[in-house]
Amino acid sequence: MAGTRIGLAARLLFFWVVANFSALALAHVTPNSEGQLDLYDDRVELEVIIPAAEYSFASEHPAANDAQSLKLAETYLSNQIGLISPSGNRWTTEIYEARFVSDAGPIDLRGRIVLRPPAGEGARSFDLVWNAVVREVPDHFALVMLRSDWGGKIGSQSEVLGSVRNGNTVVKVRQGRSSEWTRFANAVRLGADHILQGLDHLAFLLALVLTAPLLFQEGKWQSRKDLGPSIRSVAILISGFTVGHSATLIAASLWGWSLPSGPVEVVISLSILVAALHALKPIFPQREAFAATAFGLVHGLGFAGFLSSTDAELSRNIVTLLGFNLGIELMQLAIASVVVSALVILASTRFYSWVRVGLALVCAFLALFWTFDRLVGLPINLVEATDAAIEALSQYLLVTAFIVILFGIYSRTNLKWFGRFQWFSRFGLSRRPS
Amino acid sequence: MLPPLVNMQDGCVSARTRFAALRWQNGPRSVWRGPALVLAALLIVAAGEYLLNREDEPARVQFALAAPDFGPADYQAHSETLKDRLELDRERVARAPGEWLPRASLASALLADFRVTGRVESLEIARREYSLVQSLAPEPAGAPLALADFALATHDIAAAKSALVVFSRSAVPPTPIERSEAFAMHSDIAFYKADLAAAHQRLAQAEGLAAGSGIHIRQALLLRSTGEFDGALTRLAHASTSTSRTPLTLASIALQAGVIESSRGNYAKARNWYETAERLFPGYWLTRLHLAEARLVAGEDVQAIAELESIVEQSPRPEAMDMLALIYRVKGQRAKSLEWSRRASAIWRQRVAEFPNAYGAHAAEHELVFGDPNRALALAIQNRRARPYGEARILLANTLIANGQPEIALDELIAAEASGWRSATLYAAKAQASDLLGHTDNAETYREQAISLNPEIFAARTRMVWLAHG
Repeated sequence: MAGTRIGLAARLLFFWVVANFSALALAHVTPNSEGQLDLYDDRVELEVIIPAAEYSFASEHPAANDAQSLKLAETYLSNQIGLISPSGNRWTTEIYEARFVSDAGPIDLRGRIVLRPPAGEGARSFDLVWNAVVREVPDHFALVMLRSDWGGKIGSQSEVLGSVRNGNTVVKVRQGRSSEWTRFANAVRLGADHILQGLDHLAFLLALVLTAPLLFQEGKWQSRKDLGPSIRSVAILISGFTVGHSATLIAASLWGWSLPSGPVEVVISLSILVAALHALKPIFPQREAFAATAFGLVHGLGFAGFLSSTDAELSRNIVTLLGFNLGIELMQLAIASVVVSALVILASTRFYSWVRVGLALVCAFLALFWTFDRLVGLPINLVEATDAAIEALSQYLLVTAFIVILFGIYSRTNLKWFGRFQWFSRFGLSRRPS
Repeated sequence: MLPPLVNMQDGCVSARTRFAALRWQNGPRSVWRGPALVLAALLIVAAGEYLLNREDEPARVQFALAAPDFGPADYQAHSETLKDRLELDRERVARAPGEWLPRASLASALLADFRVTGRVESLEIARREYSLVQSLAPEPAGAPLALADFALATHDIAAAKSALVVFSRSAVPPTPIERSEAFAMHSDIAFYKADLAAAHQRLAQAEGLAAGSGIHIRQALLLRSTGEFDGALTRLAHASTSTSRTPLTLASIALQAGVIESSRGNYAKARNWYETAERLFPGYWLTRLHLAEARLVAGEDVQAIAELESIVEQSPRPEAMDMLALIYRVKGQRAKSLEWSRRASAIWRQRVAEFPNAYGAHAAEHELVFGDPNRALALAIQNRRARPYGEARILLANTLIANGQPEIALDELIAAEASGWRSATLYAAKAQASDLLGHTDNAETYREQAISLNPEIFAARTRMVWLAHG
């Protein structure tokens, strides 16, 4: 047993060093590549993201945004990534927007590749061949995802199609026939998404409906209307706006009217300013429906511009065009019904004038901000920060609107109960004497 | 006029009457009431949120790293001491070549040398000497505990278990320290077998017999493996106040504390610990490797490369070569990256040939990142078979992913998690496997879990963490 005592202290002390050392160099975290496919009738677009370090290592090209480096990157992408038809024919490749960018992480090479099938072949069945980086870096893989397929998949939630890595560099894509119904549903979704993300359109609508529950008397906004007339006013306003933007959207899309997007966007932001000023002090009282229709014509040009920039085919197809417009209307109605209900309830309180003035000022500020940005171009950081703030604010406003509606319903159904508490009824939530 | 405060009819002040008085004083249409109410609501919500979300401050951990009790002051001095010990033991063996006791002493010295210097030749000779000890000493005599120790150092779990069985049959009753060490080794075996509860239990038994820094450090490793980083640091702090406070022990405690901080993404704190380790025991190559890594994470590439090249100049350490290959890969310098990875590859292959259990995991990681994924898979399978604990499963999962088998990889990771293993790399690998399987929602959940353990896990600089990711 004597031997066991030899170096016992040393073992007790140092065993853990080995234990520690054994824990080294395992589970190393490495970035991988990604490919997002968008399928159209006549082509496939592939957005690629490759970690810049791996790209440089594999290609031995610099990862920089000067013209020569970008040219090298484009050549690398077109040589290493391509599509082949089931018949074995190679598709044509065009690279767009190859850039080295850092999006909250390491620098990536991002590029958009437009791939077109040979004449007479469809764009829904192909083999994606991806050799970029995976051949040179053993543990590297590229995840291949289908992001959108207008005729085959509703929405733009990416679905994993497969992955490529060293030894397996092909992903087979067989999407089958496309469907008109799916195409229509995607267009509806696109329209609804565009309204949700198009904060300028929402700001215009908000500014416009702020005065809907109010009566114009003696040159200013006075006492409120009853519920029925308020809703009628809102319905007329939204219908006017819808008629206006639908007319220009359909006309511009089908007959190819085009105005430069810059001036159109500026007029859209100015329309918000006018509507906000009108909510502060009447400018065109009792002619709101006319104004909504007139400004709707300009907003329609904006929608048409967006649609054609997304995909020209969509704007030329009457089914998708109607779907897009329907999506806009549905989302508009959904938001308006919540906001207007809340406004009508708030209009029965004493502090509605504060709400109206506050929201009108916010809309006016945003209108000025967007006008300046669209005219002279404000710093991107400022624009991004403002957009984020507006998005957060709009979410809060929507939640507040829901709370107001619930509160309003509750207070009306439980008036007797509330009536016991004078302070509560004084707070402004009593039923308005008829 | 103020309304009367006393109701004349019943002679008492009603709440309603008092409220009316207050209302009168403030004015019936106070413009401040609304905003005040909103402000009060906001304050209540904020206070509620604070109370719900506040986390108990972790108890401040007190390390006692100053003034070591004894032992060589730096790596150079320690190497000299080991050299002297080895010479003495060799002389004893030369005088009595047929006796097992001097050989056991020599083998133990060689193992100690390997552990501090990383010299594989010492390990090779130690193996030969232990083999001779076994042939010379009749069972259960000999040095079963030392043999178990050697087996664990080379990750030979089966041999360690057999040696501990022999130890349990010792004719001479073992001392409490020896029994404590045996329990600690049983704990190590349980740890490698992914039985973390048994590992904790055995350590508690060991601690009951003879508490020492080795026990506390093992407890720290166990707690780190289950993601309990604060608890692990507390254990290390206990270790720093325990017995055998040599400069090397204290530096190693600091090093381990740095690894824990690195595991949860506190890279600046990790670096502080590595610098403390270097101050406590200057020149230690393992500390220098970690310091180089900390510099890489901080973006100090030039200094890190210089440090790593200097380490390689002193001794051809493949870990340093891998790190150099990684740096040059990240810098996009293919030729230099390949040059270092090829040099490392040759050494790893040689080491795996000599000690497959001890170096299989390292070689697998090297092959996975720089070499052949198929070979990495074979090595990782072998490693997981020998030691099915969390880290081996994560490594295997990564090699399975690289070989296009994410489904089996996910099974491995689920098994690791079921064993109690928790690390950001575990969840990052789960996210990756889930992505590949198209389970994107699950992948998002796993990414969140990884970030909750290490907020930096997906940051660009984390890829430079080659050593201390846990």
